[in-house]
Amino acid sequence: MSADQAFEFEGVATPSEAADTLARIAEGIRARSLSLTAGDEEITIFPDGHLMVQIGAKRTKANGTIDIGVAWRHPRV
Amino acid sequence: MGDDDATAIGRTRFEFARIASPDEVAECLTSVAHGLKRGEVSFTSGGLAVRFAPTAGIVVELKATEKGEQGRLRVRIGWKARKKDVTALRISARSGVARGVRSRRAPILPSSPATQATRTGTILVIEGDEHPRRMLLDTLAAAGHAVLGSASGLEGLAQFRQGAFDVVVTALSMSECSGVDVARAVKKLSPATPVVLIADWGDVMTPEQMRDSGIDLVLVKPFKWGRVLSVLADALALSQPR
Repeated sequence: MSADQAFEFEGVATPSEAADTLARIAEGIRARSLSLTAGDEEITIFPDGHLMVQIGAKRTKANGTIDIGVAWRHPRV
Repeated sequence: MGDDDATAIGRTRFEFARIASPDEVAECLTSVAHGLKRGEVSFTSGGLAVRFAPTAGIVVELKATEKGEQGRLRVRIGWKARKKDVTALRISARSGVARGVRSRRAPILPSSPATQATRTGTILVIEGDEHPRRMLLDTLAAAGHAVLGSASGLEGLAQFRQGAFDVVVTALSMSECSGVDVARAVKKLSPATPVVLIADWGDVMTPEQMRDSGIDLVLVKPFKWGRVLSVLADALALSQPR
């Protein structure tokens, strides 16, 4: 298992850019290997096996959030 | 979303949790991505649909961790209604003397780098996609920079030859002439002009590749405006005042 890694990013986007970001993340999850890079920060994660997916979405008058969480556990070798 | 998977649902709230394969999760994310492009994301369960219509000004937050045997990825997409435009505000002067109002002398602040005016410059923005180009130009112009936009690498280089620019900001992926080609050409014509590369998620360049290509700084999409202005300030600090 590789060393512990963490990555955080926050940015403003248009709906189209946010969609592109999600589509790229989807590609990475489908490939079981996802690299995220922002400036000097970089992480590669390997989501595989049984994934726990949680989606929460809520909205008020004109504000809203869509929260997507994915968690996994690598099998012991 | 499948009917059996939702754990709570209302007209303004949706919650969902299940075990899924990577392909199923990818499918779900793709479906949300398509919804964002259409302007409406729908979650359905039990014949009820919850619809979300994210507006412009979306904030994307990403958190990813790999710790020991566990991995986590969290994507949060949030949006807010636009604040009222300041032009909607009406201000008028009234004659007469206000009562109970005392004028205060403004405090004299010591001068410091933080209170000095930020340097502005002439920026050439080369970006093939109109929307990000327009957003960059508007942001930089609002910050006091003189800006010129170009829709292609070749056109941008022609403008660069004719003008005097402090900084060149260029997208990486463009037809005919890529951002790397632009950076190399700019450095050939004017080695002291800083070049900022606009990169997408997943575009990875090593410091050696950046140096060899003449790229001084990288700006990663999606843009965070504070970051745009800070990178431009760094780029201007690299350039020689004209």
